[in-house]
Amino acid sequence: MSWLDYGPVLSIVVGYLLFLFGVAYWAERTHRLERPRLRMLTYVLTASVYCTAWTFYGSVGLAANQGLEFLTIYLGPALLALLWPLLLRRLVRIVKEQRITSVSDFISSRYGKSAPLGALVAGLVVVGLIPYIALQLQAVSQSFKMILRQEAILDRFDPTLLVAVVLGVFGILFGARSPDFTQAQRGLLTAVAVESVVKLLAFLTAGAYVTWVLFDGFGDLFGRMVADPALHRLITLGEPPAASFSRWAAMLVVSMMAVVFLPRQFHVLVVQNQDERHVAVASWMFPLYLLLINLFVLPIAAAGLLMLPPAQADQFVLLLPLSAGNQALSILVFLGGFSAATAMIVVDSLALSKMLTNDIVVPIMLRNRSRDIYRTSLRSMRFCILLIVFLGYGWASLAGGRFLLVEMGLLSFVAVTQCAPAILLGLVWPRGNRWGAFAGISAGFGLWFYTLIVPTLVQEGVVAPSILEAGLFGQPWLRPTELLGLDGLDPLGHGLFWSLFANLAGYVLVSLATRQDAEERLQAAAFTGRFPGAAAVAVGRTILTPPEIERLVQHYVGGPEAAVIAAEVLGAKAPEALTPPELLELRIRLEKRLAASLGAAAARFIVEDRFTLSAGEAERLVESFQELRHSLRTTEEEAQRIERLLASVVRSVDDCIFTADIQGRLVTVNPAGERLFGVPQAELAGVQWWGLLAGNGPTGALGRTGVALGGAYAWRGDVRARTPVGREFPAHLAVTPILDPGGLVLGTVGVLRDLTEQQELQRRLIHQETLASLGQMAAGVAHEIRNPLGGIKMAMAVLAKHEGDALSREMIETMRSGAGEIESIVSHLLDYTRETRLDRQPYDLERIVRQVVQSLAADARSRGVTVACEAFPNTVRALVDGQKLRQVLTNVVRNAVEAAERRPAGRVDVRCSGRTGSVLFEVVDNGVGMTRMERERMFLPFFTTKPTGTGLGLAIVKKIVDLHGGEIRVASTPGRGTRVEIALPAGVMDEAASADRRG
Amino acid sequence: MKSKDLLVALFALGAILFSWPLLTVVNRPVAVLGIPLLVLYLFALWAGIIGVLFWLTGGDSG
Repeated sequence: MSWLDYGPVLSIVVGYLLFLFGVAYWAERTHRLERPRLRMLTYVLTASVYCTAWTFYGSVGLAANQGLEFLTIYLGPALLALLWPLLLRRLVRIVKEQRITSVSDFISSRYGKSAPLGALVAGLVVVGLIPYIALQLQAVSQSFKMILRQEAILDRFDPTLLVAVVLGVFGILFGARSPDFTQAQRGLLTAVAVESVVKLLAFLTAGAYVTWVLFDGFGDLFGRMVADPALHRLITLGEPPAASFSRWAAMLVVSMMAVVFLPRQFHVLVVQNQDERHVAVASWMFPLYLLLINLFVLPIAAAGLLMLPPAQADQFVLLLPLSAGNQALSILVFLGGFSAATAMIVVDSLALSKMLTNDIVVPIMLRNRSRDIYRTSLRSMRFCILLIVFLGYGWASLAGGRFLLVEMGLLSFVAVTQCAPAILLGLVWPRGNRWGAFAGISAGFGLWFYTLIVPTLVQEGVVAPSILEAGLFGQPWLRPTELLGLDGLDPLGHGLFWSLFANLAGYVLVSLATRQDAEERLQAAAFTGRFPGAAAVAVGRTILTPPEIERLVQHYVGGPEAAVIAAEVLGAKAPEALTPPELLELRIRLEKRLAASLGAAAARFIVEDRFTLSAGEAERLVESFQELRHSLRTTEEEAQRIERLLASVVRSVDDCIFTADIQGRLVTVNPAGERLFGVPQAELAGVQWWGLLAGNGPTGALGRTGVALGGAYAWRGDVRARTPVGREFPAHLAVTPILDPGGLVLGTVGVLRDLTEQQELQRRLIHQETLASLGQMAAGVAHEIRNPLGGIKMAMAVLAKHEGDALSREMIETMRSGAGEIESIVSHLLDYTRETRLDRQPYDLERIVRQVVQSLAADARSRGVTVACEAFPNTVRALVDGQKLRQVLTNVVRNAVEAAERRPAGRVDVRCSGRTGSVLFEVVDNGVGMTRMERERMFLPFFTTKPTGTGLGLAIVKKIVDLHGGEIRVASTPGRGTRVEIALPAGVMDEAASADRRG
Repeated sequence: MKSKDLLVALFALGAILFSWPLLTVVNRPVAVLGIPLLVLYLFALWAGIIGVLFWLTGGDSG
């Protein structure tokens, strides 16, 4: 019994299918596939679902008939792989972000979650791909025929139907387990990856067998090709060149689009991508897989042509080992082809069922306001899988092998390519809109049907051939294969050109002519990464409160899943006390969670569905809007209030406050700054703020501030400032960078304080402290001198009484006078430094003044100076220390007399007058006068212009006047005389007790 | 040049190398090293793309 009988083959097929079920079942439960390398490898291998039975059998057939053009189906993807790290990664990101489940969902989502657009794409893609699925089943059926060679049995029972049913069940069990397509379908994908390994191994083994066992290696086979003119066409591109090259280019383009946008490719490459980094690895590993599986296509084709009838070219891979009698290899090759076909059917039917469910079935259910949509969508998906598989089978049995395998596949590719402009341009052109996508895709599919499907239908005899000859309605320019008279292209190039041209033109022109709504702008921004501004983002979003979310989910999802989803969306957030932004976030989370299962359009419909709200809930919704508006308004008012407050502080502060831009140019300067620098703000604007500093400021201050600001740190320290006119002054500067929330430096704010006055004050304080300590020391010295001085004076008095010669007496007298002078200085000094207390009594000031004048008059006359006391107009009384006041006046008048002494007609006038609350003494002389310097220093201790003065007299005067709370003013002109005014407060007097105690 | 720009440039270059009229240069029935010229040319370019991508994406480290 041969292995190739009906029974064993059927057992092998059933066994293989069971094996796949086992793999999928195991993969869903094991953790061994979690390793990063394995997951990466699985990703690459599932991507190889691109290689279907069409690759496995069709490539050789195509090579045998058309030569090298079969390679374009793989060269295109290899070329596009160069862009995968950019394009595919971008697609993956968007799909993860938007929870997109299919190509039609992608387009619908990009164009404002438009349900009609999604339905259009889903419908057309399914129509375009059913023949492709049929092709796979046909290949399975054919391979059964080839390997069994017992067609009689096949007429009674075709295992292809069994295979189709089993594949449908497989898809339902491992693909349509959950409506959430963003979850990893690990079991299904692992089985597909295993099938990818099987088909590659089978093809490589068959190739190696043919090349090295049946023939003598590559050299032998290729040598025969080169030698045989009949086989030249296999290794060169045919004539006429134009048509051949146009087909070559068209196939490159469609294969590039197909490898990403075919439903099954999009599903495994984008939707089921579990790690963005896998894209980078797949971008070189996937082309490598393609290269390996194509390595032996030409040798097998050549071998087939040399050994078998050319009509069976599509089956050369299987027929060569069969005809060589190698049963084991035949079984392996059969399983390889079977793997290629089944993997494609499983993934494609799954992806298409999702499209049909989310973009056609669910929207219809939503329109009817059906409940429990979640579960219904799952049932719908399962039903659609079976439907698609059966449609494929039906098409395959109907067509019955009359279709050329390769051409059917290519037509599917062109159909899928019609989605590419809306997807690719949608990624880069924000203005591309829903109506453009509608127009482009409709026009593209329309022309695809007219230029490519109609001629095929003519070949099949469905349509009368007259349309090809005479054109539609007898119009020659409407001929499907020579539209507008365009000839010279092969039919495929011709069809692709017209369909893509109409597609692009429709998309771009209609997009330019129509407008986008808010949701569309939002989605366009998310897909292109270009955000048009906050205005577009904020509009058109309904806020849902947690109870509303729970109710929506309960209504549309229902069952236990509803609780799971609601909990997932609401998370840890308490149903109460959510702010409007948080509610908005909940709404977005709910929409995305629903989109993962039901598609973007349906999710939007549910979330936006306000008719499901009860009256109370609607009221609360309005309230929440009002709250939002209210909170926005108060924030604005608050911001304005703070701004006004800040502005008034900046204006009223005495320090210069400035702001500068990122280049350091002054933007604002407050009024204090304008005063400080003596120029209005307008003139300072544009000056760099360090232009306000003097170059000779503290070393490196500017450098340090620069470094500090470059690193976004604040700096403060002392500097020298310089006004625009060049005046320099000491200042304290504090500069702080202004940062935006992201930490970027926007500019500088600085505060500059003028330190001139403060420094002057400090200088004087230090001087005074020095003087004070000097005075204390002097007082100590004076005190120590006075006691021995008393002893000396006494001794000298005793000595003077003794007789002595004249010289001795004269010298003793000199010594006594010197000692007296020392005593006088010491007592003055002690007077000045001693802490003095006033003994205030009410006095008649006239008496004091007259006593002083009288006591000095005689001495003055001897010096030739007249001292006059003007008559008092009335009695002036004041609360003063009479003894000290006499000391003051004596001192001042004596100084005046001494100043006037050297003048002709020297004269001193003393006046006294009373005003309310104060008394004024005036001492005016016509003496030598004082220079300004002398006048400024006259009250300083030890300052004197007289040869014998102590320099303490006027210092004591000043001290006594100060103690009285009075004031002493001096006006003097050198050579003209001096005028001294002493003003004292009168003090509060009790008139009854105002008797003059003392004279 | 960033690898992103390099990839786009290489894609453009590849598109030209895989198309008319450059293909006519190698479109003749001769064998080099026992392999037909056009076949050798296409497979070599293909392998080149794989090599470049392997190098630019950092191999299997992702």
